[in-house]
Amino acid sequence: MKTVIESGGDTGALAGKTISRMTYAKLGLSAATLIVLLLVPLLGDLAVISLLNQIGIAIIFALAYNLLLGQSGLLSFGHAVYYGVGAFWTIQLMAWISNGAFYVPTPLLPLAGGLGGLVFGFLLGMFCVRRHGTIFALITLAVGELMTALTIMLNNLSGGEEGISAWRQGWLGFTFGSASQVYYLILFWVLLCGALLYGLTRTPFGRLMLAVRDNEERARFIGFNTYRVRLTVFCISGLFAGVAGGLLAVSNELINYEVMSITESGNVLFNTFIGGMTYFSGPIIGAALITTLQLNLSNYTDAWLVYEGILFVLIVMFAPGGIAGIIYVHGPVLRDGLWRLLVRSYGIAAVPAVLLVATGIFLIEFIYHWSSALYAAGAEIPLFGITWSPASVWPWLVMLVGQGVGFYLLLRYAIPSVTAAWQAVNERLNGNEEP
Amino acid sequence: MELFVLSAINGLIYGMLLFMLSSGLTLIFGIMGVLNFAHASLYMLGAYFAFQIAQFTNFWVGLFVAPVLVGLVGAAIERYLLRRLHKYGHIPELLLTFGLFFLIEEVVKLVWGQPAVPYRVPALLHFTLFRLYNSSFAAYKLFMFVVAVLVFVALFLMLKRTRVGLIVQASIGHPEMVTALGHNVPLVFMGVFGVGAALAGLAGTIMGNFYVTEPSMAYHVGLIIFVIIVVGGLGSVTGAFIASIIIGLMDTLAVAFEYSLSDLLNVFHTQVSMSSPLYDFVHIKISDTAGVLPFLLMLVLLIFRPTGLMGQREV
Repeated sequence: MKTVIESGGDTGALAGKTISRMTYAKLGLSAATLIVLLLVPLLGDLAVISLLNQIGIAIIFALAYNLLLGQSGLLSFGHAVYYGVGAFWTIQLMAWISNGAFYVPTPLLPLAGGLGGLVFGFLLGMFCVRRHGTIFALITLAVGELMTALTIMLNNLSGGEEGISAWRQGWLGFTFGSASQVYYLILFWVLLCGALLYGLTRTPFGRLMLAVRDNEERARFIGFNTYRVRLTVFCISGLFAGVAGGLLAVSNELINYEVMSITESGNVLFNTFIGGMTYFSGPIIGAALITTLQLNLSNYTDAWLVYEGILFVLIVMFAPGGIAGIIYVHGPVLRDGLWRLLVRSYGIAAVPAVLLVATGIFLIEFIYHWSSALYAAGAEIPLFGITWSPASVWPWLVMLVGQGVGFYLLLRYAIPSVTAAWQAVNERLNGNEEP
Repeated sequence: MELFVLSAINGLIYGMLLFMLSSGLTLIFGIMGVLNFAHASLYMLGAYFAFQIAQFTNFWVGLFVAPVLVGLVGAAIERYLLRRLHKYGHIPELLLTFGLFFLIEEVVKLVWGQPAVPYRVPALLHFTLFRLYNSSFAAYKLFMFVVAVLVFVALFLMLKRTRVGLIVQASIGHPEMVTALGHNVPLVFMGVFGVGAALAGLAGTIMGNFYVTEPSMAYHVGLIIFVIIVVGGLGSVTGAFIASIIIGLMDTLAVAFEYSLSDLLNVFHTQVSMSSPLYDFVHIKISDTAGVLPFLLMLVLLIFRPTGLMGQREV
């Protein structure tokens, strides 16, 4: 099975019982997920609900972003601009509504954000998409910086550094006073945007985006105006990023300039790429995983961003398909029952992996404790239930030996074994298809 | 007038320092097509390495050792990371350097902490050289200027007068031809990346103590040197030099101008009322925009002259 994005709806092309069984399995899984998501607020766990709210917003933003990165091959370093514009338009509208200037039902507020994202996507996009590749990345970076600086300077539009706050109004018996009511609002928008964006990948225009990404010259030769295609994609992406920003405004009730900063632009890039930019579900997986880790791990360690950076670099280097890619590549293996071929090599690879990760975490945490202000010279560092003295040779020896042995095992045994196992799997898979 | 002369001198020195950073970046872009997001991170590493070495020994040891260390880091990045991605095109390379930029900043925060470190100008150079219009001119500024000029001359001679420079220049436009002639282009890549990194490290070593050595130093400088190489024309060292001086002067001179659009409107006896949304916009002073002027320059240039000032081809 190929990727969703690259091959659209090719499930119909592959006839057979296994496919229909898998389709049923997928439908069942989706329905079960939806029911679980609908029931979550009944648990009444506020932390979980607010986490899911953030994940939902991150998912819409990442899906919008992937329209550029994954589907059109445009790497933007400033997409938070449209997210931020959406957030500001919505919060401003909320402020006017509280003043009684006019009335919009709360569930429709994200549309205002979407409109903001669309308008700015068109205005700035006209300029940005004249190029692609590296220069597009540079232009979006510069536009992002300009817009952030402008937002800080235009005090009475953006509230300067403090930002703007406004309150949600009730609608039809919903007060939107509790996090769980906001949760249903966000869930509705996530499902709607997800369906629309997925539908877009199945339209002829969705295919055209891929064509422009893969071979612009040829697309132009066939007679398409590739500039217009890119601009349209940019506008749609801005629209959905704006909806995500609008939801952020509705859920946070406070927006300041940071919402369009490079940090946010970097976040959405990380979410999308770590999740997997070549799969429709990649950004969803990435947004859910990274947001969860971000919120939970930052309670345990201040070095969370180091781990995030290492994860990103590893994905860029070794798994360009992201986490979704790693998952999907195993789909046919499971379907054809070939997992036995892989188990042994994965077992071998697990040894250096565990060793490297454990000593790596030890190294990072140790350095963090050692260099932080909490540490007094000569003190001992409690880590993993043992107190370690930085002055002694032991902690350093553990780390160095662990990393050294780990790398040796990885290069000497793990990589050759996994490569050989996959070769065997691929031979079997291709062998099945050829006759 | 006094302010103008002082700003011009400062701008010139700042521009020379920016050139030290952007020359390596533009060479790397010209030859490899890689926009090295992490270039400014290497600049930051130079400052932190020099600080650490100065803690153990003194500034002068750091001045020579830190750039070499940063050069080795740069060469390793090219050899073990970038080279593996080269066949996949420029977007993965750009993503990698962006990831490294992010990671290096976090590692620096982890090791040296969030606040600025006390990296100081050496006592030997810590005096006032002369006074001009009641403003003192630090001797260290002259030192920075001299180092930057030496780098400029050395780089120029190396590129224009040596065989290595000839191969490097040829690799900018025609890497396939250079390979066909039997030169080891991957080695050229690694060498250029290493030397570029070392220059960035040297800039960090001599600028870190005069300005501030802190984890956010990479981001601000990084954006400015991107602008410089685009404005100068990608791959053009001469262009990078001109653009560095322009941006350096612009940066220091803009701060001196306290005018805003409203002053211009006043000339025509027009005013924007306090309640108008445009009020803030017309009251933005030129001095406040110093930070974003380079981006405006870059965007305007990309519209009217996509090749940059001295570039041979469209960027």
